[in-house]
Amino acid sequence: MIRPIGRLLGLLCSLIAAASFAHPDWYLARLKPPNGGQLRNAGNFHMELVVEASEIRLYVSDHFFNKFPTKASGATAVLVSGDQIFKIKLEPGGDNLLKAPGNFPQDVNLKVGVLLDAHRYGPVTARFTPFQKLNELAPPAQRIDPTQSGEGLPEPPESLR
Amino acid sequence: MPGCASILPMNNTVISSSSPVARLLVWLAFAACGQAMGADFDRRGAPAPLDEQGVGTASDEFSLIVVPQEDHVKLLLERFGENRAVTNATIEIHTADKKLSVTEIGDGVYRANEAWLLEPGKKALALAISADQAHDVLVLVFDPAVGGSSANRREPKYAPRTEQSQ
Repeated sequence: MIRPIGRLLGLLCSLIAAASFAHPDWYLARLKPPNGGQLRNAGNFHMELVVEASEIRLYVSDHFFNKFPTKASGATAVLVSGDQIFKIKLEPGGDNLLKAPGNFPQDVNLKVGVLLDAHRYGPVTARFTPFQKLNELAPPAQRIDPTQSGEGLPEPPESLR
Repeated sequence: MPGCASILPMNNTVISSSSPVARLLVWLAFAACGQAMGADFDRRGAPAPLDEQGVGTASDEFSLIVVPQEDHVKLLLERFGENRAVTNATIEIHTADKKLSVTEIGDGVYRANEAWLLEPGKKALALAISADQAHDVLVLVFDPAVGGSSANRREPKYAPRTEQSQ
């Protein structure tokens, strides 16, 4: 009696784990981003983009919202505002931040493509529409376990190490 | 849910038990399995299927497939959700340090000739697209080893444009 229940419990845990930790964009759109930007799911990561008039900031975390250190990573943002195209290089800004100064359009229809070269994980991309604001009543996106910072990511595949 | 039936023990030990805990566990297992299987059919945000195999990406404006060929890269561009080729589009391909333009070779079919696109390895691409007074940017991680002409078993949806003889 105990054994089948144990097996069932194990299976149940693995099913719930598999179903819970991959957050699609429509789910992330229901959360309040930690830095007031827009959240996107991108491969092993969550990215949050904040576009201000004088600065653009990209925050990178894993699926548990643990910060991913970006000091050895780089990113490029391609901004499309009407028929204008801007290409910006983002530099590490400490912690899990990549940023670049400049004059950026505050256009409701602004679209941003982000190309992240994540250290040890390779290229990752995400598309943002940073001024299409979300539900203000959304619950905040919080880290699952603050003690696990940076430990939630799986090891990158052999070819990328 | 045929897949879920197999998770139960063959001797039906759990189902025949009158223990409420066991019944709860069975119910939870079915519920979790249903959630996991349901996720497979949730295609919100997924690129619309196009005819050729390659790497796909989409926004609410455009749907694009990038197909590696022997000596160039082919791009198939459609209006998202309309199954309609986008002609006369301006497409710029951006990487971290390069930029290139593409040429239209058919209705909704574009061609990028740069050889470095076909070099081995994954490349993060941002494609700035302007067409029909719509402007957008799509992103994808392109791997030349994925898809391509050898993987195409069907005729392409859009035939290459034939030049009119004068």
